[in-house]
Amino acid sequence: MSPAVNVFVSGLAGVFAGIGLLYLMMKLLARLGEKAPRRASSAD
Amino acid sequence: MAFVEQLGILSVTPGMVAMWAIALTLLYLAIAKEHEPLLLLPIGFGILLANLPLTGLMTPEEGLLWRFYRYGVEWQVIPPLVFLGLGAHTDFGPLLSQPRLVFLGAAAQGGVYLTFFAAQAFGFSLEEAAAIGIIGGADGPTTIFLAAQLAPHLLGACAVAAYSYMALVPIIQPPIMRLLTTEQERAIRMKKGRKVTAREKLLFPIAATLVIILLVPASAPLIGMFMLGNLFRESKVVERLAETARDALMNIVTIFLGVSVGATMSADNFLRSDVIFIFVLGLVAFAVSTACGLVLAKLMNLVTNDKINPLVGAAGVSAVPMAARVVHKMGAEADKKNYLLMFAMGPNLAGVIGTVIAAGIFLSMLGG
Repeated sequence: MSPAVNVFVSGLAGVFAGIGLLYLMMKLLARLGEKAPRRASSAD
Repeated sequence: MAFVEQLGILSVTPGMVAMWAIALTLLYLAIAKEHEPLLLLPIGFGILLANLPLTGLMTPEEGLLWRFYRYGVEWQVIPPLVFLGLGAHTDFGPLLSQPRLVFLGAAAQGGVYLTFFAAQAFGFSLEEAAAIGIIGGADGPTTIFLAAQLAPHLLGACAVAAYSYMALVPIIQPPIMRLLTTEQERAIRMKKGRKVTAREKLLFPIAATLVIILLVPASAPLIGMFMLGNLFRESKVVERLAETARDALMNIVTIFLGVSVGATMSADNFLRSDVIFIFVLGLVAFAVSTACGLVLAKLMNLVTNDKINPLVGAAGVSAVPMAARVVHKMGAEADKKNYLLMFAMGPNLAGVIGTVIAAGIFLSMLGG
């Protein structure tokens, strides 16, 4: 593979990998961000 | 006689006069037309100063402007500080409320890599081709950051091209948007995203720093400062720092950045046939990036019921917030009640991150 093709392929793959990980992280943050439901105490 | 020999006017060259004309054109665009005035004004004046004879302003180790450039740009200080200010300005809420739109910011990097490939095919070195390709990301500080390290002799041309095309977003993008979308697609109304909590916004800069830098360490100077600025903003406990980063510091570094970039544009460096080529390739990069974002949005619509207005894909190029505004305007032309601005801000911010990742990959593969 020529150096230019290598940079082209690795670059595009790297950008999509980075953005893909960012997407997964945002989905995870959405879960963490939601308020955890309050546990009913025994006194309730 | 010694005094006469020291007269600057006797050392003026035709190249210098041509550069004065370019400097005055940029000053005119900045002042009279208000095209990116915060950058084009200091760049224009920097060009003027650097092309006056016998000043020594760009003499290595001695000149004032040389010091600004060396310690500010070449040492990678100023572009990351600009990102610190940008981070303190940025609300990631629109992106966090619709995470799927982040992919549009990645697609828009297609223009960067296609142009990189085209530029090296036309005879530019790989390093020069990377500096030219990154213009397609439409992110000034990232372009300067990368060009200063990979192709310093092209820095001025790449920076001016990037800022010029950012200013010309309302002219360049709409024809491409019309060409690649139908009236019906432009009128698609998107569903409102969910409400984003303060905790998510607080955690985002920390998590994004970890994820992106662990993947592309060379992006650390820009991403690190971008997310630090955003943490200043979202933590709500260092409002003084956030305010300083987005106002005073941002203004100070913008002055040094503009003047330094302008000062690199001496007649010898700029008046070359390949500079015209750089402007053409930069325009191609920007146009292709716009098209890639639009096309991916259309492809995503094939596999989802919750339709995306393809116009928001065009905001995947950075150019914050100009590209998002253009998307909103185009959407409103198709349907007056279609409010796309907040939807377009998501890919717009993703485009900034995508361009920084692309620059980091170029650096890690081609940097010394």
